[in-house]
Amino acid sequence: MSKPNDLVQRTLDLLLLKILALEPLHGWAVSLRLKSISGDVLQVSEGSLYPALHKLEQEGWITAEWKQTENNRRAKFYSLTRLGRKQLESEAANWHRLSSAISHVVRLEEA
Amino acid sequence: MRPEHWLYTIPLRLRSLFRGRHVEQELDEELQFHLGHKIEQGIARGLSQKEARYAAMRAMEGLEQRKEEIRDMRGIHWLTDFVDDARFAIRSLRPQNRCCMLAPGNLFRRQRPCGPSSLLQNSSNIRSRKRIHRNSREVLHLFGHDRRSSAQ
Repeated sequence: MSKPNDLVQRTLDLLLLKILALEPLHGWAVSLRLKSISGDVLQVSEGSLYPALHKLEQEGWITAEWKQTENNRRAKFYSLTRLGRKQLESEAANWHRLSSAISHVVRLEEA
Repeated sequence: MRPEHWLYTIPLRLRSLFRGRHVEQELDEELQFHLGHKIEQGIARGLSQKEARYAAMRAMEGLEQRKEEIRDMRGIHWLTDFVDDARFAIRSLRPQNRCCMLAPGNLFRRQRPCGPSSLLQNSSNIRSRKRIHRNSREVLHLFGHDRRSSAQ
């Protein structure tokens, strides 16, 4: 089993990969999208967002490109690579396995 | 690791290595972009410009720390540190080289006091004397000030 820190990091990686699989986004939009999709439940702190995005980029799971935003500002847009899509599939499968195992334990009826 | 991984990471590392300044500028621009939006969000919530900026900076948990963390992600810290150390070593060797160049001149001066090396030496002596003279005023002034303050 992974260490708690690894688990949090891997969960954050999974969330970021999933958000970016939907469409290429810049960091600010990623944080907004995550918040809105999760119904204000999940909010990645600004302090961990950019190191996480750069880590994913260094892993080769996402790639970055400078583009103009709708407000005509220059921003760094991240998008998923082929390698990232494979990683997302593997992380998602792992997450389903882990979450169903945890749910199974939590649902056990007490004697 | 898969070879495909290196296909993405090698260009990134080479870029960090050879276009380091540009990469740093981009990092700064990216974080400033986020900070700008965060400030705008704060102002929209009714904060003043100063308060919004402070809140945004606090949310980033230290801009420089974040930058350092991101630099670590690039995985070339060991190499850039090595290059910096090498640069420092070369820079610190330079004055020693100058001494080595002057040393034969000093030996030569003993035999021929009017040689070009002795002229250079003399001019540098005059310059250093001037410097001492200029500084001596300050030293005296400081000394006088010190005496007065000690008397008080």
